[in-house]
Amino acid sequence: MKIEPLGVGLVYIPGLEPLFESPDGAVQVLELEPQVLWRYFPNKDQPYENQLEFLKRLQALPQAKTIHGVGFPVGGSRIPDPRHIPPLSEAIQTLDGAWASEHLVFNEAVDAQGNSVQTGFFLPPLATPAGVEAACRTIAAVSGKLPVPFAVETPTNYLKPIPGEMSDGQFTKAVVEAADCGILLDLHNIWSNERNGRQTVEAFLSEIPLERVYEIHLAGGLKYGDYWLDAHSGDIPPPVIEWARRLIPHLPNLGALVYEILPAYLPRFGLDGVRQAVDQMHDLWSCRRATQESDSPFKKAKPKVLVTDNGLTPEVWERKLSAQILFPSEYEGEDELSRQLADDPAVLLIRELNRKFRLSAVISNLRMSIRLLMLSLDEASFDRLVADYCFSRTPDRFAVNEAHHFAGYIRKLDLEIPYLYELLNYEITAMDVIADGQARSVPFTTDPQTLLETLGRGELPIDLPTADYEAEITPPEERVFETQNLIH
Amino acid sequence: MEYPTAIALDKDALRSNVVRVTIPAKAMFDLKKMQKITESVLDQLGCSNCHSGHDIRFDIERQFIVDEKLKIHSQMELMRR
Repeated sequence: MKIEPLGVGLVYIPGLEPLFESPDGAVQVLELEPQVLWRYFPNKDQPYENQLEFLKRLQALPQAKTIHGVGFPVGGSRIPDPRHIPPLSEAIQTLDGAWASEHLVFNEAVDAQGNSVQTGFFLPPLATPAGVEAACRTIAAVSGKLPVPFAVETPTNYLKPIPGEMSDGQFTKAVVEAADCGILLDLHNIWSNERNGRQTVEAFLSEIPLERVYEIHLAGGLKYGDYWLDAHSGDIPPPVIEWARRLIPHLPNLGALVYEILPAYLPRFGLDGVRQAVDQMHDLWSCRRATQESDSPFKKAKPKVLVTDNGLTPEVWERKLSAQILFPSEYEGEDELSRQLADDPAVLLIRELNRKFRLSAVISNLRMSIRLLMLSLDEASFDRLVADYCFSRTPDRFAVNEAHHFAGYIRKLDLEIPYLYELLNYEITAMDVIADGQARSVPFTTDPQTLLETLGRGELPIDLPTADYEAEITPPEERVFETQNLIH
Repeated sequence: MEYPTAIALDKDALRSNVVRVTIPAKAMFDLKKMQKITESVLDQLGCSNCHSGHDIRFDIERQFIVDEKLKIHSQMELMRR
């Protein structure tokens, strides 16, 4: 499969529009994560819906487009919900995407009772021949239905290696060759894996088929306890830049270099920081060679000998790992693998990061209710409430669902916090208004403007005058690039 | 059998005392004091766009609350003096 060289680009997030619109043309590729923009209607036959008008506006931008999936990874044994394929294809076609990619991880498993659960976090697949077969089946179920070439992204893995597993490079090679697909090589992930005690970057690069690398992701991360996190938080670490410089001349099929940053980090990193990353990538892009050397320049590590079949199936691995993350008290010490996972400090790390992801998803929709809770409860009580919620319910990949579940949990607690439930009602209703654009009304027992402004100042609303209010919640105006809302 | 009149009258009477206001679904009250927050409704309801790193939106909110609590506490201390 020959991939067209597109150049240097950015994953689209709100706030980067000035760089995509800049007349200097420095950003040549716009990579879209379509699921981030999907509306989710769980009761419809087709629950996932693109915001087509917005996609068309992105399409009108001058960059070449690529599509990067973030919600339905292909590394596990569970075939992702097939209903995500039509809107994914629609996004690819609307944007005229050159290729599509997804992560070589899993985020769904079947629990001990046979129920499907979402993990809320990208978890590494079982790196054995059985894991390779499972991943290939899953990749085929998705890539075979898409109208463009497909690549899988090399993930971060915070876990310690388990006995009998392949190296990360061997696993990647086996999967992409058997599935006949490309590699989206996230160099920051591979470097993070080395820093966190897994395979070295050198060994990983020596094992993967370099001709299958369609795209490279570059990003920044941060130190968190004993780990280096794939945080997408700003500057690309210099060693990652150096690895890219060594690698790129040996990639005959490289289509794009793409930088990633999470929206929450953009305000502090700034557009200038992102622009600097674009310039760094242009420097790297210029390292490509017209003719490639056939031999890999990377030294192979001593081949890892598989201990024999470790007896695990991908389904068991996925169930036990997700159980350790989601239901730790039920599974500790049950068997050898569960014991090993329970002893791995990365499991604690993932639980904590997962809790923050879930709470952040809730905050993005129920900010004022959460603020009122945090102002009313002491920190330990609030943390206990959140922990109890997380153990009471498995995560959901859609923020709207996570917010609904949290609101339901809080309602059952029947807390005696003034204004909490009317505020919750307002924010939950506002989510519906944003989703379908239809105005709705909710009651308040005080002036909602005063209530919201008080909380906006970070103050507890006390002794506000009581009166019956009916607030009409109006939908947001359609977003246009020129008026994007960056608060300074 | 219906009792529409009395109920409707009560409701109408009640409604006449209700203050009607309009507020946006995407209220910005909470963001006026928070520094440099990019806000968008586009990615509010969909999938989160990174699931193997560190989402700091909760940390930002907690820091805001801690700062405001400290500020209010120090203001009260000043008033006591």
